[in-house]
Amino acid sequence: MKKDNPIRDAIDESLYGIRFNAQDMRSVLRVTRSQEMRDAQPQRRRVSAKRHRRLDFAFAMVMAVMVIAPLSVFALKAQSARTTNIAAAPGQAASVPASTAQPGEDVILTPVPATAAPPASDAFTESEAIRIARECFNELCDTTVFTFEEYTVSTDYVEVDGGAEYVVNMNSIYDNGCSFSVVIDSRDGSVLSTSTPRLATVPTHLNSQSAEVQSWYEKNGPYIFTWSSEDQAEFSRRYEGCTLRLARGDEISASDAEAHAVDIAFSLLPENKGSIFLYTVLYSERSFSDGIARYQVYAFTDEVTDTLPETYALITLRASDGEVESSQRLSTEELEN
Amino acid sequence: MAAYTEEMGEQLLIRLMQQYGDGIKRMCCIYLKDLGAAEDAAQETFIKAYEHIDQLLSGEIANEKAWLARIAINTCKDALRSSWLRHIDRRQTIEELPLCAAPQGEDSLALTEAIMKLPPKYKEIVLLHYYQDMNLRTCAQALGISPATATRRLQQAQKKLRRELENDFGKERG
Repeated sequence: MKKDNPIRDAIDESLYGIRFNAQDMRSVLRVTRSQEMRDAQPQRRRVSAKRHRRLDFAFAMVMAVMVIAPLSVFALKAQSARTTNIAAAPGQAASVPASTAQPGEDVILTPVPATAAPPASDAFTESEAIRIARECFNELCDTTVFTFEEYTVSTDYVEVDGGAEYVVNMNSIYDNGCSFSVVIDSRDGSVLSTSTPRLATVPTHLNSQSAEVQSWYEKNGPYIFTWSSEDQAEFSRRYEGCTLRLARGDEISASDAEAHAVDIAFSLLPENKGSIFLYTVLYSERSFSDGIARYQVYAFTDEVTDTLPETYALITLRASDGEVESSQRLSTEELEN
Repeated sequence: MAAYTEEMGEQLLIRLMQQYGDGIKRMCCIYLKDLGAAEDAAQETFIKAYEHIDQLLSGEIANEKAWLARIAINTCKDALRSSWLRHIDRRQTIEELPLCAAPQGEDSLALTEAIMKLPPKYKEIVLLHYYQDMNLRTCAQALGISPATATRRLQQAQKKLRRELENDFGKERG
């Protein structure tokens, strides 16, 4: 059977040294076990909350009679009063905000803290823990990429020997794998540990199947280099960790970059019909290991629509002074994926 | 719903990693042409598989190898779309990858290198069909294309491979 498949044999023979080794396995198991632990934590919290309720059952019953019942009556009265007021003021629209989100402009969610219920003896509350985590994020992470508001926040209250900790978990609302977590001592609010700050703004994946990402492609087309500079930069900021950006004042503009590239494009695409279509992308410092921002100018003999011409020219030049670093004629097959 | 314990899930995951891990990692390596990215993608494949391990335990998934290969290809596609690969050219040539030291592998090297050079859409059909032993109907399902497109794509991939190998052979002779 094995001899019947030369491709499989060739790959296995050529890449024999590439193994899914013990280190890979450990990495996978570390992640899956931490996921299991995270899933299990809320359950533990519920158990401890029940215990507290049982202890204070008599007190709770008294509170129900003395406080909640009168409040309910008051609330009912207030509601009927509000209804009367709205009815008495025609022309005043109820203030339900309509969604104005355009494709790709999702509503930014406000972090909603999970309702962990720490014992009253703790000096720091959950909301204070979130405030501390926010300060920690602002201090350690690159806030030029994402702000605190661009993460969903959840907290876990974990009892440890001799005390308790808040674990504040932040996950990017853009489903790009960016996350940051802070462990805070519930007694004095000190930060015990944080996750790697870099991972708060470096995406691990692009969920290209998500409706949100798809909406960008539906709005702008399949090839990011044809998009407006603003959309390229914003898409990249959200999902790709700011590898594309807008030009700064001390850099050449996109049209300057095209002016530098156009003659080279004509020479690389001699089959042109007297005109060349140029599309420009500015790759940020984050895109290159040498930390230099560069323009890439994609040149085609025909305008790019949903299908690409077979070949194109790619001219790379420095954003700071427009110096052309490379130019090549390429096949578009790679771009199609 | 049947109750599967964490231990059962983990044991199955370990068995999958032992049985298919090498093949998945090599496939990711061919697809991404970057060993570091391939490592990440292979690990991500098994993490994603674990999220749905109950489907495997319950017998909902009939062909576990094809299922894993499909997850791996989709993970690689997502990785390629991610700017850290799309914009940063960290691609490695086959000479830079850890290879078999065996000297008899020259033809294999040429063939593997030719597959690595294929555009992704051809590479994925070759990898799924020939390397992961998936039939064309299953390949089509995994890639979200029609069986006719899968057949056509495989034929085009074969043509491109043949041309690439002939060129290499021609260069050597020249």
